[in-house]
Amino acid sequence: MANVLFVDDEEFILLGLKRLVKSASDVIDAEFATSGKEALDKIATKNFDIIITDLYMPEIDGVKLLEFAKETQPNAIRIMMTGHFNSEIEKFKNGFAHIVLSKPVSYKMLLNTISDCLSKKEELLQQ
Amino acid sequence: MNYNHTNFFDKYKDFATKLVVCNDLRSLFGTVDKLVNEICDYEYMVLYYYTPHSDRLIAVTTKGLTKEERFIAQKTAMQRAPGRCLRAKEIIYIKEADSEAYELQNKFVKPTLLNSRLYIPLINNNQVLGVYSLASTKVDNFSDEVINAISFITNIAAVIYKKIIDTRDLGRINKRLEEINRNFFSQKLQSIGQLAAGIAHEINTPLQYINDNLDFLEHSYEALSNFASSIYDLINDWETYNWSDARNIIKRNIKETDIDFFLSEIPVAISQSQDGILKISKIINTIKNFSQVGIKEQSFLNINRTLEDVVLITRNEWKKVADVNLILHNDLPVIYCYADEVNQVLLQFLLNSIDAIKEKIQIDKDYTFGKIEISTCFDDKYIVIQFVDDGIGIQEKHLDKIFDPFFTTKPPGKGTGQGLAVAHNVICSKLGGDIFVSSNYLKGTEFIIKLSFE
Repeated sequence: MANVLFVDDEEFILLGLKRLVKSASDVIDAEFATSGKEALDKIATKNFDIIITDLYMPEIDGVKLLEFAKETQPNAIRIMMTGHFNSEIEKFKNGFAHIVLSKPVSYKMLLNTISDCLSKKEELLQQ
Repeated sequence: MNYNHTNFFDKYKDFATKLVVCNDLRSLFGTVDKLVNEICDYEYMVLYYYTPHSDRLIAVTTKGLTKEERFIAQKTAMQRAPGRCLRAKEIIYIKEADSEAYELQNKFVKPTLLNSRLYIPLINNNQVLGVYSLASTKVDNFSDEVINAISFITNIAAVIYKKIIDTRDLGRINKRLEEINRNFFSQKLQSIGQLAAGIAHEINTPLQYINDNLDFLEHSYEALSNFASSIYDLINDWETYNWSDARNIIKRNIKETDIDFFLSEIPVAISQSQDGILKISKIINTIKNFSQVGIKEQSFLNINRTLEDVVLITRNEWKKVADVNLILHNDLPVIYCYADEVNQVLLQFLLNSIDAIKEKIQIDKDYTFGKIEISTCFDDKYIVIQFVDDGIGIQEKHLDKIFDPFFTTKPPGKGTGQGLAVAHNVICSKLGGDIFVSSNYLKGTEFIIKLSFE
């Protein structure tokens, strides 16, 4: 069972994910946050295996959030999910995220990524 | 000296013919020099051009002077005889060296003494354009006839000079107009480029949840069809069950499949996806409106629609840093214009407000989220568009420069200084409207745009 935190300020994205993830509730224990601030609170109180966040959010964006996660939960895999161009996200990748996914991400791809993260966790954390 | 009374008129005619054919400053100065050389000898010549703007005399062309002498001559010109000649608009002729000459002599460090010196104002339409000065080591070098002939030459030269300058200025103005038009397109391309990444993001977001929802519907179909086949099985095998067993099996299947979840979530997934598709098509329509580059015809434009479009396509730029509030007057008259240009200009004002807010967020740690208000109203002649933001504001010393082309306070590579210059050209010059600005540094800015709808 993987503890996964999904963070996105677009409500419909979170709702869509919530619906989907329910079918995988035997392998994913999912939490959802609609803002960076809400996510900070969750990270401060619960341990996650994987944190998946949007990049651009008001006040606390994906980069700040992952910086905080890196400090407080160094054993969590950090994934950045964004609708921006690849060239632009590359610069955010260094150090902040283990994996960068470009929106739109299919559910299949998301599930594969999550299971990859769990099986190659040690390898990813070495990065 | 081969100046001769007998061919007096022929000579003057010859001067005039040679001068009027000059069509650039180089040939004009050359001809003046040549003609004056024909009628007298001199060792030194300076032609000063007067710049009313800085109230200075500039040595445009000289003869017999070293670089340093030319520099000193120009630097001291306004205090010396050239300046007096300019102010009095009269010829000054000094026959023999005076104290001023000695004084200058020291500065020039010249072994020879400039005895006679002649200063002739270049006048056109009662306006002094400059001063023509000659000097010679000989005492009383320039006779009255010579002075008359030279002033005849310089008078004609002054008229030609003005004509050449005016033509050149006209060329400059045309060039400037061309430049402004070119800037409009480069500015437009730049802001579209700036927005492209944001627009891609705006489209990708609904794509993401439409994608997720379709995955969910696929999964729901599987679950529901499994449920349906369990019912079919039951019907086909009806005899083996009693009513109560069948009811329990169905009840169990309903629970296992979580039918209630699908029944409540499927309609929501569908409607949210439809909503997302609507959002994408709206964005695409707006981009279509904004990319009508080729349309050269004027048309009636609803400013309210334009503002809504502008707010929509910039959403990704402002949504993380500010609220944008649109207060639109419902009965706003349409204006007749090139829609392309007005779209671009209104887009620019909003982008400026967003930048102002972003800049303030960077320097003011208590300020994390800004406010932009865009409103429209009208009176019997004008519609009025107002952009108010609580961003960084404009420093007072910059207020009178903001419409200058290439003026920008942004770091190199960030701003081109074209946005407001183009806006001013479109609103004020092309549409006969007006732009007013009031700003408090660190507090915010208000732009008011007036456009005639008559």
